[in-house]
Amino acid sequence: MKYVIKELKRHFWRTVLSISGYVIATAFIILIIAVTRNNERDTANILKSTGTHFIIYVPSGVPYNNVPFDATCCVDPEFCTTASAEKVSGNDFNHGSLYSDGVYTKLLSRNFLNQIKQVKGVKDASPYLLYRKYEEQYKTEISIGGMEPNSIATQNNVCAPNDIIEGKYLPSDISEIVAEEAFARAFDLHLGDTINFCSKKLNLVGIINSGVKPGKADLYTTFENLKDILKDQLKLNMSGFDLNVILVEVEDSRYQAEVMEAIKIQNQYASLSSYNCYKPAANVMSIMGKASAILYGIIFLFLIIFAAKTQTTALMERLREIGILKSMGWSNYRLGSQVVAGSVIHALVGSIVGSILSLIILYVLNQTLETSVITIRLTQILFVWALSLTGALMASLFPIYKIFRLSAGDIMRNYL
Amino acid sequence: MSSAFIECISLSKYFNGRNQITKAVDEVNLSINRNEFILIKGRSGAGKSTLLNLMCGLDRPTRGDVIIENEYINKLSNQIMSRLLLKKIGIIFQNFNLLPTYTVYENIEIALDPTTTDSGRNERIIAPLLEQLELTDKVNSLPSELSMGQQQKVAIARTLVKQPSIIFADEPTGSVDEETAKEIIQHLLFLKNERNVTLVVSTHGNALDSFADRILLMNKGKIIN
Repeated sequence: MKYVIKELKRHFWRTVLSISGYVIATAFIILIIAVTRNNERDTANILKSTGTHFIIYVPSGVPYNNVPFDATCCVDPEFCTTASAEKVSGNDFNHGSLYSDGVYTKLLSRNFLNQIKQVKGVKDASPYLLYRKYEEQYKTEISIGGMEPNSIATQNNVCAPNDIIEGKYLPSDISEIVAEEAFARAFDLHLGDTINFCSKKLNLVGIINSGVKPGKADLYTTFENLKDILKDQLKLNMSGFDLNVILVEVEDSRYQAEVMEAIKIQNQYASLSSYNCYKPAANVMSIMGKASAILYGIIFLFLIIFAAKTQTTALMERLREIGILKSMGWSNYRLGSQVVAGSVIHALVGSIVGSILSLIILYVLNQTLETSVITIRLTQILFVWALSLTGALMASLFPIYKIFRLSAGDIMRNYL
Repeated sequence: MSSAFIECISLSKYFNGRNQITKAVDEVNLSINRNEFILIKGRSGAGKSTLLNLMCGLDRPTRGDVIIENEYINKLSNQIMSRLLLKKIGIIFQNFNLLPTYTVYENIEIALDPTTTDSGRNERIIAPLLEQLELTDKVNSLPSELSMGQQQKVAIARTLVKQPSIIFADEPTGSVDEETAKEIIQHLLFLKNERNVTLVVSTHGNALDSFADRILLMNKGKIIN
């Protein structure tokens, strides 16, 4: 080690230059990691919750149990047919029916809802009742959704408190209702107006614009309220078959395809409806991850090339000395270890100084930028150190190869 | 097994040039006894230095063998050859080959066994040598601050410090004045007579002729007598 240190001191400016390379590379990598990771984190927070919702329903036409579409709700099968009004054809929307995505749906059980909640990657699953009925007063079919308002799955699939334009988000009781803005405008409805629906008089207490969502309806109320409103229209099975749509929220858009696949495997009759926003979001996140990995790779490559260049230059300058030392009996291993030790010292000192420099720059950046706080973890700094040391070891490979390959005689003949 | 201390059998070293092969050493057969002082003479380019490099293991032969104390040194691994150079073989070069940024003391110390970390022991070995070679006051000097003769003395001290049983010297008096050459010859003779060292010296001059046990003439890579 004495001779390693001596050698580093002997070529002071070369040592400084080499260490500077590691300082710049280390600081650069740490800054890149800090900035890209923070950027990734901020972007991922938005992207991973983009399009992470979908709805599940079972169309009434599927041959499950061969239960006829217009039969009243059954007890046994897990997927029950639509329970439309007794002695009234379910095909006739004038008399109302459960639907989703424009098709009649079967009732689903709470068991099925619980199964969905257990699927890996599902963040939240919520029951939903979606009913449509022709109303003479408005000369059109009106849809109404009954939801569990506090569920994140509901807020992303149906409507959320921040979608309110006027009034309040939730009706207080069965006599109150919230309307979509488009519906309210179409029929010139205002807060306080009365809406007739299913022979009930409902007071309009909120107007909402939920945007484009898979569970969108004309009117909204709570799940329990809607059950109450529809008690004369539907014979809901109180032992568990009381919903026709399951609203699902997935943890991360990157896992959504897997979750949907798992649910399809679990029940082949289930229809899953999503706006597929998760696909571009997942793609963007994947691209960002790959771009960062490529960037680190390129920097690491340049670090190794730079270090290798420095080490090789140093070796060429030292060849005469290496020849002399070989003739003195210094083994290739001893000479090789000197090169490695020198390289490691360069990398270590460079990494420490580079880390300090990057922390100072990050501090200054955080003081200057008010919008975002850029942080770096100790493990990330240690990772960069490990990267530098790996680079230093790799940079030593060629000089070591050269030491092993050249005999003292070759060096004496060609370099002395 | 031969009784010779050093033996060269059909020793050859060829170098591939652009259009031709240079036979630097060609089919040399040679036996050297223990404590013998062999002088290899020849003009520049005769192959003396290459022969010396082959005999001391700095180079590997193209063909043939070098045997030192019944050991085929051209077949030894690099690691074992390094141990041999460290313990048994001393080399003195014409141009001294001192490390320019190392002091006199450090230039001598690098020849010692690196496994020894006892700097006190190193000092005990090096100090008498410096005194013997009248270099005590130059211990912290750099080679550039020394005369040619003093530099050669440092090179000799570097060789002596490990107490080798064979010394290969390539033109040891070639770069020094007559007075210093005499001094160097005296040191070499001291080693041969007092420490039973075997000396293999190459030269193109006549200064050492009268001290050698045997003189070999070399021309175009071959020993001619």
